[in-house]
Amino acid sequence: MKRKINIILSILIAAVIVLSGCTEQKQSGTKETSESKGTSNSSKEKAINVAMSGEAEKLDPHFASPVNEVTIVQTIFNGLVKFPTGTVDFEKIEGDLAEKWESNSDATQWTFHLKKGVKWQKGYGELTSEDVKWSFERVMDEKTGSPWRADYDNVANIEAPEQYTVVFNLKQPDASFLLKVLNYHGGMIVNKKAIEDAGDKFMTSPVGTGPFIFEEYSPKDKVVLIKNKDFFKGEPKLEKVILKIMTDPTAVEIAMDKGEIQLGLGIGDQLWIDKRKENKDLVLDFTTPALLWGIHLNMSKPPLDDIRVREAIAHAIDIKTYVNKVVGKDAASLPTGNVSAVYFGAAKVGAYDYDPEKSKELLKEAGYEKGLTLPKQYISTLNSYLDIMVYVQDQLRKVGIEMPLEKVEHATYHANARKDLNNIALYGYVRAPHADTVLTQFFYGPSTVGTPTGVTNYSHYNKVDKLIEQARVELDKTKAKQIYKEAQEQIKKDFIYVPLVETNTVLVRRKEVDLGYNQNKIKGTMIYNYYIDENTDLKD
Amino acid sequence: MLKYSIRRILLTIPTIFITISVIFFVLRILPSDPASVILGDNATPEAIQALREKLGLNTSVWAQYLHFLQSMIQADFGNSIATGRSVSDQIISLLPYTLELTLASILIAVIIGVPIGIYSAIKRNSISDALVRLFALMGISMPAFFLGILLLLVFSLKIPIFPSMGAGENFVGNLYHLALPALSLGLIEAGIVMRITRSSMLDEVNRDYVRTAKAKGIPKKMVISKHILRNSLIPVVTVIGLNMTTLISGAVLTEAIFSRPGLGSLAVGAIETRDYPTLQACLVLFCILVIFVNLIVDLSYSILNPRIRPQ
Repeated sequence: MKRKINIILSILIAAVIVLSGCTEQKQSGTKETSESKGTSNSSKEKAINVAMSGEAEKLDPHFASPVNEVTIVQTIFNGLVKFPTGTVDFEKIEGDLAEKWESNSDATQWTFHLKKGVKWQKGYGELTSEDVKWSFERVMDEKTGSPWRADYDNVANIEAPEQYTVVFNLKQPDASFLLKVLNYHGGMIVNKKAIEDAGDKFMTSPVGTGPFIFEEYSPKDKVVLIKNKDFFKGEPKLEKVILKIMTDPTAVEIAMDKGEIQLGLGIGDQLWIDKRKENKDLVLDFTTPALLWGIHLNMSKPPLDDIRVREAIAHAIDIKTYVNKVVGKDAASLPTGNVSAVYFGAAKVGAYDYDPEKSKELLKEAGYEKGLTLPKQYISTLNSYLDIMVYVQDQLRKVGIEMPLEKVEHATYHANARKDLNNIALYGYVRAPHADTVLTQFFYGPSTVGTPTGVTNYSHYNKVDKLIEQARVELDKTKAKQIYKEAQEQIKKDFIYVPLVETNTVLVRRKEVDLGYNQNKIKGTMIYNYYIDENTDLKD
Repeated sequence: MLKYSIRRILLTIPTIFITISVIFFVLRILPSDPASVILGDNATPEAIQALREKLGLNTSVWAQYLHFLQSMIQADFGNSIATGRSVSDQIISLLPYTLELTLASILIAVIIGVPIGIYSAIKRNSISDALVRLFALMGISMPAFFLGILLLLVFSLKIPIFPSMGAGENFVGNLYHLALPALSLGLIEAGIVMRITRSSMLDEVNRDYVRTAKAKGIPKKMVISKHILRNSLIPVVTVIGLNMTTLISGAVLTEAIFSRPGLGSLAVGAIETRDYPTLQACLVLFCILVIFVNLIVDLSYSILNPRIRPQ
């Protein structure tokens, strides 16, 4: 008997050992097999380790999701223009692949002059205007299936008259067109030949012009990038960037304390922030643009078609207490209006005052003296959504409004909201930092959910359509801001959107990291993470 | 014996067919479709429709089912909706991580659980028995992710002997990275194995055959190892088999804490993105593994106990 047990145990041990041997295989981007080195910092080469909160499998920038994946593609690809790294300011946009640019007087034609001598990675030659033209046409092609296609609906055609000149002809004037050619999502320039060469594996074979070259992807594990010695802005200081998938926040904490990870995401919770601040090896960064959270009230259905009911809801929620006591001052701030403050054209029209007595009075006027029970609302099981909505539910109850909630999984929640099943839809977002983006997606008639052109106008609102269209073609920035202000004031008066809180992205890094931009500070990020560029470095 | 084994193996075929059919239809009942999840929430309905057509989601469910069965027979799991990569490739690259973790934890559970269980049964109602049982109870009550975090804090941060994340680059590195995750699952399993071993030993101790053996003058050691242990191993093997199947698919939290790749996280990720092909393949694989483990458990009964052996 003992012998048999011994045999079984030996078989098990053998199996474990054989399997440990098997797990070495990985998909390598380059043919040459570089000697495998430990992921820790112990080796001499300068490698930075970044924690990512989820899988990163779509490394084609035209498909990469706005979290994690975009962090990776950001270091591999370039756009025509960019924000100064570490900031997000529409008025300070600078050239990336483009040397300079100009538009005609009515903003329907934009011409970009490319920098000369920009080399593609992995020997794909020099970047030309044909590459840029093909890259944008790829996003615009319905067959490609890129989620960012709609961003370019307004582009009539693209021309490449000279080797270093690209011309975009627009259907309608667009004063904020630069936002569409940023180094972000559809604006990142990809190489036709490299994508064709990769065949089925194009999602995990990115070739760009950026400071780092894709080296290796192992599913559910990590992505490794190595430096691009021929980068057109100079040789990067880091040898390697290792982006490790770590879905558990505690695991990230431990790895950062040990120094196995240098950059990572934090948690937007005051207790957590205070505790992490005690660790002197760490630096915490709070970045904008903040996620603006608010509830969209559907004005097309009763009882919310009555403006008094909407107003009652707006005044019933004590957002100051929520921001200061519940979320905490480091990670959150009071909303400044219905467009986030750092966006171009934000008018800071302010949030609604907390006044429960007024709410009760308004409800009484509207005929709901004995209380009002709203139809059932769906809400995502994601904590960030659920926490806020439960707080709103509790606040409404205090003025006599019952809002029954049904929890559904996150994807289902968004699907339901787009099908117009929610009368009160909670939404938190970051968008390209320009008032036009926000107003068009959330407050523009044609974007109404449930219609063929629908986007995220959950309120069925259409009263500022003219203003939005007018501002879109206004090249004079002062005049444009004035029109945007008028629109935002009108939206506030109509009580269709109740801004609740702006939550910052909390980022954590070890103190040995020198970001290399914006005086080693990150004020703004479009990628919910740190930017890593050619100047980012590790100090001893 | 051979005939029994063959019959037992053939019986798995209808089981597999029924389970994969159930998997297919249950997945189709899920609300929200993959196209809108992939395109995100600011895509237009036209774009969503175009992608649905591209993914073959616009045909009838029965057409999709027939196509699904056909490709299952050819062991072709298709390409992932989210990434376009071959699902088989993904699974083959992750399966070893999952299996090594499962087997290593079972190994730890058996090495620790069985001897302690025997010891505790022999010394029943002594102080050492009470202590061992207390620890086993703690093990069973403790969630694996909690033990994982404790192990990380102690053996990775305070006493830095083990790495906190990843799966290692080479053979030795792999075993080294495997230690903490395997311990966090294995110690908990060990508690279960220990309790089952103890209680089934105690069931046997008072049987007639044991008294007879003792009366014949066989030494106590021999009675325990030859007679009691052999008869009490059947429930232990059953429990190990059951737990093995949950470990294969259910090590998601442990994978997350130790930042290890694995099938559990692949499946959960596929649910979030409504990646039908990947999810289907994961579920089919899990169900085949479960059936396979049960088959082994069944066959091992007959090795352990000749009376179960059919004629």
